[in-house]
Amino acid sequence: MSQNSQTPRTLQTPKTKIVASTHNVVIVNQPMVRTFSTGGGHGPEDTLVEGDGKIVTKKWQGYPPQNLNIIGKPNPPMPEVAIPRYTGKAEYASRVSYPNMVWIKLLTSPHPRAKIRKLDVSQAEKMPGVAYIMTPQNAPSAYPLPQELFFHGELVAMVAADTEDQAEDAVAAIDVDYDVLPYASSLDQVMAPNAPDLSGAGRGNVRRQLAQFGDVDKGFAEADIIKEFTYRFNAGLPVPIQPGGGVAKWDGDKLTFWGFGQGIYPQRAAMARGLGIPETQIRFINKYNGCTLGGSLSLSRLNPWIAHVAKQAGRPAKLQLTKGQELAFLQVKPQNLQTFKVGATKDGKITACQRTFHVNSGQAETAGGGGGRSELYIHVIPNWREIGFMYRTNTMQTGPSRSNMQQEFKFGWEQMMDEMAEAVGMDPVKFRLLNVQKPGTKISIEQGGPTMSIMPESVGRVLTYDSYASVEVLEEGAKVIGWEKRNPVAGSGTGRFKRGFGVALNQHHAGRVGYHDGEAGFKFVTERRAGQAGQGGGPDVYTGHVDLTSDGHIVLHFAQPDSGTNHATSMSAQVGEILGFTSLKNIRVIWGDSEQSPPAPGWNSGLTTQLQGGALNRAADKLRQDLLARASKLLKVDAVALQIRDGVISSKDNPAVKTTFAALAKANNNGVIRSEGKCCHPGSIGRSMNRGVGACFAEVEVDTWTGDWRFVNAAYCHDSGNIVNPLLAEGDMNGSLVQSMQVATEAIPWDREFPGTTHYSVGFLSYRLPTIMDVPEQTNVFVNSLEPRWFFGCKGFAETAIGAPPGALANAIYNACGVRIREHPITKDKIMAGLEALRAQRGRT
Amino acid sequence: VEYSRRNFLKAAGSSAAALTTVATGAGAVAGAQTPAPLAVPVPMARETATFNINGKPYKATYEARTTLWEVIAVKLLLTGTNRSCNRASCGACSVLLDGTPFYSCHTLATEAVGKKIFTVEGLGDEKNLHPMQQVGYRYMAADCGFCTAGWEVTAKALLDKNNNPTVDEVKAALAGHICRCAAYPAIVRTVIDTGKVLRGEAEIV
Repeated sequence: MSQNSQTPRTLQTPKTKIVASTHNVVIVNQPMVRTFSTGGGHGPEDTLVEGDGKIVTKKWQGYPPQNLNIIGKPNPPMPEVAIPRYTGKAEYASRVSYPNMVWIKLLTSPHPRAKIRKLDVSQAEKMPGVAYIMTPQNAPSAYPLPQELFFHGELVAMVAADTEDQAEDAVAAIDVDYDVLPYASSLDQVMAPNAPDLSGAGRGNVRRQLAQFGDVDKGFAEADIIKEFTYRFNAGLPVPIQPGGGVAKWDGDKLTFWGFGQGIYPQRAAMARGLGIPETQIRFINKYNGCTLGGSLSLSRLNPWIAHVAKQAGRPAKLQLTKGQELAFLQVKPQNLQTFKVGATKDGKITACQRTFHVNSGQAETAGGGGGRSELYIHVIPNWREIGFMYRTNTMQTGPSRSNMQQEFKFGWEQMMDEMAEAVGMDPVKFRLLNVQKPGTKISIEQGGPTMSIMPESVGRVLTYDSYASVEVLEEGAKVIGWEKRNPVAGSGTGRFKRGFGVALNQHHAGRVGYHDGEAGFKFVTERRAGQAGQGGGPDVYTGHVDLTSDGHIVLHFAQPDSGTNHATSMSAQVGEILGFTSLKNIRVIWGDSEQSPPAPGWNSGLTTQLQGGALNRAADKLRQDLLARASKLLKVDAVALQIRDGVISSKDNPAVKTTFAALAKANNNGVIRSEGKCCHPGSIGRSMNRGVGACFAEVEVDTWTGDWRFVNAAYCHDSGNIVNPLLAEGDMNGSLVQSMQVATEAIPWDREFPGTTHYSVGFLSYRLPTIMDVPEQTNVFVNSLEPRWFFGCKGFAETAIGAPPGALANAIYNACGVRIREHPITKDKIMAGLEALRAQRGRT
Repeated sequence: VEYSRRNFLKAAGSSAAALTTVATGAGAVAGAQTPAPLAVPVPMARETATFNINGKPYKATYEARTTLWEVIAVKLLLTGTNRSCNRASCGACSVLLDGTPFYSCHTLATEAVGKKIFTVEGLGDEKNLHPMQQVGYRYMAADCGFCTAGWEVTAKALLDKNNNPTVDEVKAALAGHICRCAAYPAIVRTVIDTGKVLRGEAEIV
């Protein structure tokens, strides 16, 4: 077609079309047939056999990553979940209000360790608007307030009044006196010779861990270069934005509770225990959260008290914590001190590694405290020894908080890798490529380290990685960031502003689920916990319902609250593909309400799409078989000869012979066809082990006059399997990077506010969080490693790279200006001090 | 006594202090030594006023020390505006007063009397979404959504004055808003492209 003067002229340029789209994403596809496949994998000799009523192999669980219509597209999230966020109608617990509701305010301990000597509420009770005051004297007997206050900010009393201000006035009017006890809050204090005895409550002062593999002495003897390093991490916390708390409303002996967290059934069970009532008397609702980030899991310990106050006040009650008080009840990334002795050959092979670590594990440590490190099973270390000390201290609870034991340990480990690479004269990417696990590498649980041996999937004793993109996350990331621009010698750039590049590796959970591997687990777990499914965490059974309604809609019912995770959308995409839809248009979701959602444990570790999604996928798979059977009977066509597309089931040979989902539902007795699916963590029975791996590449710019620095560019790389929705994945990973960047640059301000005593800040004012001015240009690199054990080749990846940014940033700053920050957090003062030291050194030589 | 907004506002009294004074004062107090406990007047003086919110009149009776957020979200139940830090540092609770963004957690209710108050409820609802809400939905400008109501009204204030802002202008306008999900790149894209829609250069499909 030629363009000539005949073409009608228009004064208007065509309008830009605004469609759902990603910002900065690179997807690297691996071939579907790979030679390294093992186990449930997909080898070159394998033939995919797939189809309704035919063979369902473990490869892709019968649903291969081919001919997809929804998965892989940047669909906007489910509108019923996402639109209310833009209109101010998302139902966060903090928005819930009832007529005649009272507001709760807390009296908390101003000391890190104390006993209450005197507590007199007689004046406070007379204050205007006060409805009820809960103290250790009248707290529920099954859920008492602590007798000994073990950390600054521990709960002493709860006051309920008509307004927040009145409740705060009454808190101020409580007459309280404490016997202050000797305390140890920081690592320095607890490791000092005069540290107080803090054993008790089933815990000693220190928990020791010793594990080893091979012969470290032999390994060091084989080394050409031996180096020692020390790193310190000073605790961190990716604080959520929604204020913690909840709303309780009693109708007779029935309780409705609006909560905040990462699961409704575990919280409901804990409340029932605390209140001494049956679980079924509690309707637990938690649909939306303003982030939870793992750290807020520990806030649920306040729930039974909120409900108790509401009961005693005879009115609905609401708690919305202040940020300063909230920090004390969140679980934090613990402070630690790590020392390494590492040996390597001159061509860069690590021969031995000995690590000693001291962890400040707080007043209580949750699952994995000190035990979730994955460094030893990312790498192939032939000889190692790990000596750990986990101290009980007078600080808040420690535990998973935007990953478990990743950033805090990898801040040291990944700098050690960088320093060893330099010591052997190797590029840090090449050094890592030489020492990491790769597809096909076999690793015994003994070699994989103490944390691997506590992972039940290692029962098989030897693990072989197959879908594992360690090489790709490093090589593709290096391409995206422009690794060749890295300074060959640290700090060798010229001028006031110096750029530098750093890399760090990470691996965390993710992808470690094979659906069918978990099938035997359902039986095992349900038999073990008959009648109690959904009450606990960990290995319990996730249940999902997929309903077909008489208007042809598919409705997913599941328990998991949404913290910005948007898992409803990725789970709907998988269910939609299974049921032959080409869009999400006919799919609806109902979630986060114990009266409408079947039981399930909570979500964590980036496994929602796999665990809760596994249950829904299973339900959808069953529904598909069921609908095909019904259609086969109705149309008198063999099920194998039928096809499904957008709610129409037709004969492949004669598409005119057809019926619809809606018609099949209408023909059913009640107009709805419900399908139930279950999934459980394969860890319950000790199977499956595929994991995800991630890398962070950082480019920074250091102002050598002031020590100020900027995070300029990031290539954030994930072994993600087949990406269900790149738009959501990008949003998720932008948060992951920036939350981890914050962990790198801000410690919990142990001593800043009230030196020596307090261990949390006054809130966002002193706990600096990255703003729109602080974040880098971020490219997310997703390596489609095609997980062979999962529907459509997908795997979880929410935390595969999350531990890497702190180490990557420290390494990039070193490369930019030659200053090594071995003590967290990274601050301009430390950079400036390092630059001054370098200048002084140069002055002397 | 822990520093709190309540204590600070008691010190400020119910006089119509400008927001900038309040915000600066909050920062100064937080960094200082423990403030002395303040006498609590019992009972507090009460006021009644009519507020013009999103073009509609709302009558409320409140204690003189009550913040604008408490009147809007607690008394009048326009709960779309989320309060997070309650320390004038995160921006989640932002509303517009006569077209200028204010942190409603650190604005006394009495200061807003006689001004035009604009909240997220005025932007658009699910049946009549504002272009910014439609573009944001397509770009994932809200992950968890808790900060969204705040930056949306601030961005609207920006676009009302300048419907063709640069990236740096958008960032400068939104620097007072913390998004813990770090949807920042998507937020910038959303505001820039909403400008295009408002100028008639782009259409939402």
